[in-house]
Amino acid sequence: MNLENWQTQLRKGLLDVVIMNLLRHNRCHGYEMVQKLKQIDGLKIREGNIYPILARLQTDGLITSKSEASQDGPPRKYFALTDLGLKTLDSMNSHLAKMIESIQRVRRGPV
Amino acid sequence: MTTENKLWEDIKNQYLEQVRKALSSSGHPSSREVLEDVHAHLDRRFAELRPHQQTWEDYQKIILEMGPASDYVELLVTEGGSPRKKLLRKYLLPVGLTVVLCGTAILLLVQTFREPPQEIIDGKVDYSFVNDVDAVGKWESVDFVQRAENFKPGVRSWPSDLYLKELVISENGATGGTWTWTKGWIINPIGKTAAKYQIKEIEGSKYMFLEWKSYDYATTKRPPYYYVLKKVQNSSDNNTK
Repeated sequence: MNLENWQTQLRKGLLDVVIMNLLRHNRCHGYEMVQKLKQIDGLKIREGNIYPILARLQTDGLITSKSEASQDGPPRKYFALTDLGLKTLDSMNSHLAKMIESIQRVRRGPV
Repeated sequence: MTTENKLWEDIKNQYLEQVRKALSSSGHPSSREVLEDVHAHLDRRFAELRPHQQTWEDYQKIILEMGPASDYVELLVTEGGSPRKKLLRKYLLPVGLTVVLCGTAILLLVQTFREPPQEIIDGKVDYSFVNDVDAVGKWESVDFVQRAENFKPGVRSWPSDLYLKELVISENGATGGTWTWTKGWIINPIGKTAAKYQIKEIEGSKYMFLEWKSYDYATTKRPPYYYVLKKVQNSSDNNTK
């Protein structure tokens, strides 16, 4: 088994939920999100990865975007969760927590 | 526009073109928006560079950190794909595969009887592609040496970080970044250099010795150092991480 391939697939699978959780409490622009995601140990995000994910989440109606003027450059596009996005995120987080708990049970072995 | 700005614009535009091509194959309605976002991101990265960081190496680092163009499609189109992709899979892909297989067979026949490729010189980068099955795959940098003979497996002589972390060589002449390749050479179409590579098997592992023709080389013509890359994967399928 190629461990690196497995890690890559795992990271990509988790990006949606991580990005949506970043937007849970505050709206954020893409560049700012990249900086935050780069600080998450093990995620190893490529900077360009975020934009197709944001576009897809927007197409699915889970997030919205709004361009606003910036003092230090071109206008910035801010992203925020929609009501549907918030509900979906709750389900995703709940599912993820259950999965992690189930995996932990398997790791601990039979009682 | 300064020389550095022009160099950056060239590198940026080439990357954006690769992304545009990759995205256009997805048929996703947000492709244009993604391209604009990537464009804005690159402009911001450039704006944050200090004057001493405005070098070819720093520009390449930004592009490497953005990730390969193929990532964009993979992350934009989820499982099941767009309607256009579904149609492609169902009808056009089998036909396309047949055409590709026939084409490959013809190419192999032609290559069997053709003259070996000409010596590549710096400045000339538009050479036809000749496959090298030994080169195809994923390579990871393990050292940076002045001469290939200096390399000892398991012993790293270069004291600092290795700028080139990895190299993904695909069967179609593409790499994970802006470079292209043909048998024996890695070609940088922006810097207009062709770097020679040699593959050696040492202690059961395959190593690539790649001339490093940096911006310094292009301006001073000092003999290039060599990146030593170890083969970690034979296929280029998983060229993202």
